Amino acid sequence: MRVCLIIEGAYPYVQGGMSNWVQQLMLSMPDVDFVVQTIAARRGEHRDLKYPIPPNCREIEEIYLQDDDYVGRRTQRRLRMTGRDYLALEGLVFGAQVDWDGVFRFFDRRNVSLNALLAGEDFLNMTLAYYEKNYVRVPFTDFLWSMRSMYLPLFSILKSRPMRADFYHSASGGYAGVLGSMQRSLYQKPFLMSEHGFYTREREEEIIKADWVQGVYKDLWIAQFRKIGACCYRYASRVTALYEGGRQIQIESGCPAEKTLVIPNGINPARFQSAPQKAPDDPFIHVGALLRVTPIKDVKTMIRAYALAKERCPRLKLWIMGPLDETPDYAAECMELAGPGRAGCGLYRPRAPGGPHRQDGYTAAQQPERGAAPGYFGRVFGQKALYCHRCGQLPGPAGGRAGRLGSRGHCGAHYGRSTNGGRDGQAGRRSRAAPAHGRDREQARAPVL
Amino acid sequence: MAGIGFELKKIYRKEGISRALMGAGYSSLVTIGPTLVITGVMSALYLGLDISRVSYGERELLSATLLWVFLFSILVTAPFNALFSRYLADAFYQKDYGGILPSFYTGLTLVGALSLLLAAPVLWSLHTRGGVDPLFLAAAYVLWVSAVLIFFTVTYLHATKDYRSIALFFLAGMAVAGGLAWALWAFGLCGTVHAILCGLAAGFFLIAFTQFAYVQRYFRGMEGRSFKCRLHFVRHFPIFAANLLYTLGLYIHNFVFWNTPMRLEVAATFVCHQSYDMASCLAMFTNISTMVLFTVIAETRFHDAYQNYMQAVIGATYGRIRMYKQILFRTLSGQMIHVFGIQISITSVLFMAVMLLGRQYFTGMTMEIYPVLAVSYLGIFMMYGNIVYLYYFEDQAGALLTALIYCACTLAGSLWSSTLTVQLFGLGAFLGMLAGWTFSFFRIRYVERNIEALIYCRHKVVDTMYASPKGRTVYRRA
Repeated sequence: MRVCLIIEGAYPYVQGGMSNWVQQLMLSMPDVDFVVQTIAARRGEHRDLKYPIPPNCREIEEIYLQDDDYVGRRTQRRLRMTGRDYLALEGLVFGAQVDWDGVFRFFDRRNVSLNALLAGEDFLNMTLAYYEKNYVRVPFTDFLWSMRSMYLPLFSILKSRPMRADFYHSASGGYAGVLGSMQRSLYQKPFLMSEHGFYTREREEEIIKADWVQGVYKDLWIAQFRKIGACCYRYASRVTALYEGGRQIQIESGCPAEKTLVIPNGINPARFQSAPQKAPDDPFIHVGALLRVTPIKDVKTMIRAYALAKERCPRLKLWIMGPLDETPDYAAECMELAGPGRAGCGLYRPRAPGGPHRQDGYTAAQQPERGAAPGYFGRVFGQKALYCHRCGQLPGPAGGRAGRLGSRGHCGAHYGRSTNGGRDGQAGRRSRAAPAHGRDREQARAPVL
Repeated sequence: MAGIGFELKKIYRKEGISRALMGAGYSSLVTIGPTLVITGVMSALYLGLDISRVSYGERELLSATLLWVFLFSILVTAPFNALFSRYLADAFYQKDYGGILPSFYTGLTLVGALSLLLAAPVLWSLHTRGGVDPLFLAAAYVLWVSAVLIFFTVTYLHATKDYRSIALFFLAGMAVAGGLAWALWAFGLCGTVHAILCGLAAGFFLIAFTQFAYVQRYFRGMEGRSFKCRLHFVRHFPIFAANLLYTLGLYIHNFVFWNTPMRLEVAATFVCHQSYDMASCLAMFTNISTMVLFTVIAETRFHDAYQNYMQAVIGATYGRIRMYKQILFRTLSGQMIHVFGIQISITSVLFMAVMLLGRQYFTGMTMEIYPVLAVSYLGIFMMYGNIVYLYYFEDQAGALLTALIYCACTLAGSLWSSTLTVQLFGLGAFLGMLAGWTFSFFRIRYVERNIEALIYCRHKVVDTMYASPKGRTVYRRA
């Protein structure tokens, strides 16, 4: 069987929870052939592989959100749309109801030039019509170019080359979900969407906070992401969440309840049974932070907060553990901020001496709705205190529900069922392969640093 | 004409009849001033040095030499001038002064090389087949190269907006030309023909030299090693082609008549058709004020309307964009009628004067050819105005097509009209004008109807590549 995994901004170039999940998924199913479509921002950037590619991974293809227009001169000059194409495109860009099948067919049937489409008269006319109906007080040129830049990544994805596979599996919604939906629509193969976070909501939050987008454009961006989200839920054969709260959010967001199911992340605690513990005569209180040293994790704020705590309790020691190479400049700034004579904490790469096992407690800069896997990591093998940042306002599994080998075993079972045309009898309920661990939940709630 | 608009706006900032006269005088000085000065000096030399006493052959050799020098120097430089003028306007707008001097040298090299290439076979033919003496050839060559350099450098001088200096250079050069020619003739150092040609060559050389020095001095300190202009020339090649075809169209009907049995052959090299060429010259001068009128109106009122529209495009609501669009095209159509109205009055008066007085000075054939050509040139200059409007709208393809249609129809029409009666010789130019003007008019209408698409759909959203496939396979297990 050939499974096409669709990933945005993660595997195999970025270390982190989702990439680990993808790697483990492939390693745990050696009898399945995988092809990976990885969505990157743009072509030409040098990217190092952060994972050894498993033998059953046959192909990795990059797809770009911002790419050049690879077309001939004639193709670029003029784009003739049929009435149906026009309506489908207009519905996608400005309508409430989107004829996604029409959109997918339009991009599949033609070697569409992004320039001919976005800088074409049809796009101008539909933009003008929508503008005159809704936004007459906004500068028109700004509006037009905002629309172009807004839909450029989506159109780039839609015109990307589809891959033939028996099963499509995206690790998130958003652009990866749209790519999965497109291939599902074109080849009529099952499509599973595993939502590690909630793409639409996260983008909404980003857009609301963002400075680069202002005024009415915030609404338009949010509307676009909602349309994308709705597309993913419509075309996915199954949609998984990491916990029950997440599943409820999916249903609220428009996903049919019968498509949803929960597959929690899990860690095999046996792997960490022999991990050494902190020396009894160690006078310090060690705090470990498991995170990628990137701006999105707001490491600087944590270092500053730690500095304040250190003034009150000089025995504190902070260990930031995670990859430093994703945003080296930011990591260097964090290093400087945390350097000797300042906050006085250490930044360590994974597997560095003084690793997680020696800590007294952990902090995980992870949104609860994502499953907080690193937190469990500390929690599982050390009976340590766990402080999990609640970045959002969502109830999540930070307090427990760590499954054992949950995702790997269950996805494999799901590929088999879906390709056989069967329906999961557990849909809408907790998966049997990922049992609830009520005891873990109780323990995890206990000490908070 | 980069820069003329600023000066005209300064003049027209205050209303009043004196300002209007000042504007008209200023525009005349800039647009047709040099032509009038040169023509005036040459006429004075012809009269003063008593050219009528010179043998017919010598006289025609001088006239043909001057005709070819001026005609072909305009033909060689006009397309380059349009291209470099556009480059200068862009460079000034973007405050990218570093490339101006390098572009000047690039242009001089191009036109210089071209003038050398064109002159070599003519000079060789004059010497070997026509038996023309070396002094005449040397003077003719200096005059030719100087004229080419002057007509090219004028574009850069206009960019400095120092019209007083330009006028001074021309006046000084022509004074030297007149003075030297008279001295050579009066002191018996050479004959009338050689004196006139040597005087003009010296005068033109002086103008070219002073212009070159002035441009160099003006832009010194701003120069970089940037030769971005080359890329600009490739991108705006249609402007070059359009102006080449337009200028060719201005003279192509003459070339057709130069190949009829009625042509005059001088020194086994030069050919001309005296009556037709003179009629063309008269018709051109009858309507040349169109260019003055157009310059005044386009560079002031239309430019303002265009600027308002473009500013609305940059940052206004669509309602305001639509309003300024209406104003823009109302201004444009109003101006077309306005220029035509004034010019037809001027043309009528001059036409009447030529018809009444011309018979005393010009041949009967010239006077028979003249009426059709006078009407044709009125339309040709109006058509050029339309081409400039198309440049404003960045419709280089429209401008090129207009020039191509005009040139091709003039050629075809002249081939046909050269077989008709004398009164209809000018019909080729008339038909070319009619075709070109009609196309340009409907092209402007097309622009008016599709201006949004032309403005908003002109630019690429992403870069274009032709070779690579979509996506990129970064890993494949064998």
